[in-house]
Amino acid sequence: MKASPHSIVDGLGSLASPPAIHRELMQVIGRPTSSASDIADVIGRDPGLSASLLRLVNSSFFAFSRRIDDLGTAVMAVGVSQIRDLALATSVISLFQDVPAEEVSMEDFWKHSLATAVGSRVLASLRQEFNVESLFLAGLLHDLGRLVLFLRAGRMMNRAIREARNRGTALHEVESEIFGFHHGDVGQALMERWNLEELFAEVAAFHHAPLQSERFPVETATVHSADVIANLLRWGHSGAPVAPALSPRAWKLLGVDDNQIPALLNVIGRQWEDAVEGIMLGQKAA
Amino acid sequence: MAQVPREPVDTPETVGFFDPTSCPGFGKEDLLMPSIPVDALEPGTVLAAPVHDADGRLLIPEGRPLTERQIGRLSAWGIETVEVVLEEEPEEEMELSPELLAQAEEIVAPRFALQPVDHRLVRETRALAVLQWATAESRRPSSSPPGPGGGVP
Repeated sequence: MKASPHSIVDGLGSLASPPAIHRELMQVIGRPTSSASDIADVIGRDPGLSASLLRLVNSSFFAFSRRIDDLGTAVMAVGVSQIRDLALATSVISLFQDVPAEEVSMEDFWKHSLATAVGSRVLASLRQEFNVESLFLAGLLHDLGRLVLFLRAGRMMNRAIREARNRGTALHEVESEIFGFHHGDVGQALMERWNLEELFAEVAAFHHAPLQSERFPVETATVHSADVIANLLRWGHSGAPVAPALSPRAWKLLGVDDNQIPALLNVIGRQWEDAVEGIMLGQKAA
Repeated sequence: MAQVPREPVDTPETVGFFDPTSCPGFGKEDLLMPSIPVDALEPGTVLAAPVHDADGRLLIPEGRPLTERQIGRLSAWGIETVEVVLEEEPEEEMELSPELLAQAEEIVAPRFALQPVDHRLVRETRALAVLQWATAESRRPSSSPPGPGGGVP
């Protein structure tokens, strides 16, 4: 039987379920009687996650004028669904931190994902999006399917990377040749299995062909552009030897003033360093 | 503009949370024009928005470098934070030789192989990639062999 994105995800075992903290947060948030402190209590049961979130809330992401030292205040200041998205982002990194991949270290992979997440967040904030953290999460998850492929078809993925390097081709194209689908499709299947909002599955599926996204074209174009920037600057490493091509039409959808680009790259770079420190170094220490 | 779909719990009214973006200086998403406390201001900083008093009278216009006297007056008026124009980080004086920059161009070129030619984002990103690689290389102790990377951290 030929493998499909869904059959690949089916064999994942416990990883076919989202991080436990996500389900707990969804339950608490879904109860009309829940308060900020109920949400803070759920997060507080995971000390590593709590510390990472507090570091993020006090980083250059949020220019709060005062230091925030407790989760309850953090929930109120940042917002309920925003904290939920940041919590999922942080816990997915620890869920997938030991994926064996010959050609790319998990540290580099997550640094790349964080650079894409931060870039998406900055681009979204220029458009004054209501929940920029959902774009942060969409950026963080965009390549998750690649980790699933490393877990389920590691040897073929290593071959794909070597081939992409030798031929100077985009890795997702070589994946399509080998599997008949690429990591975006696998990510979509996993996020559907996890019951995440449609946004995340759609962005993952189309981040290499953003103009094909019907429901979330702007969001997909956002993550697409941030992904290309992160690949080109080697902020972390996605596994792709050659950066995927930018779609100028997708970039145009974002309405960024060209003169803002240098400042934009600066801000993304600085916030990326903060995110790496806040989330990844924190997890190592925990 | 397309909006991320949100459940009813997201709206501040339903759970009694305030919208941080409605609160001045609190959760401002305007990343390129951050609000900063008046006591952290330095002369020469440029205001991104004019400062008014409670009656709406203009105290200091935007777009001009602040003088020390104006900064003193801001706190006297009881103003706590102002929006400023983000300055480019002053680059450290770095000796990057033409040879090193040429080497950097060569190193980063393969990464850019699939990009549209002459796109502004690609041009600016390439310039930063070259600078980033050359800077990292010039800081590296000369004993170790050159690496293909170039990203910080």
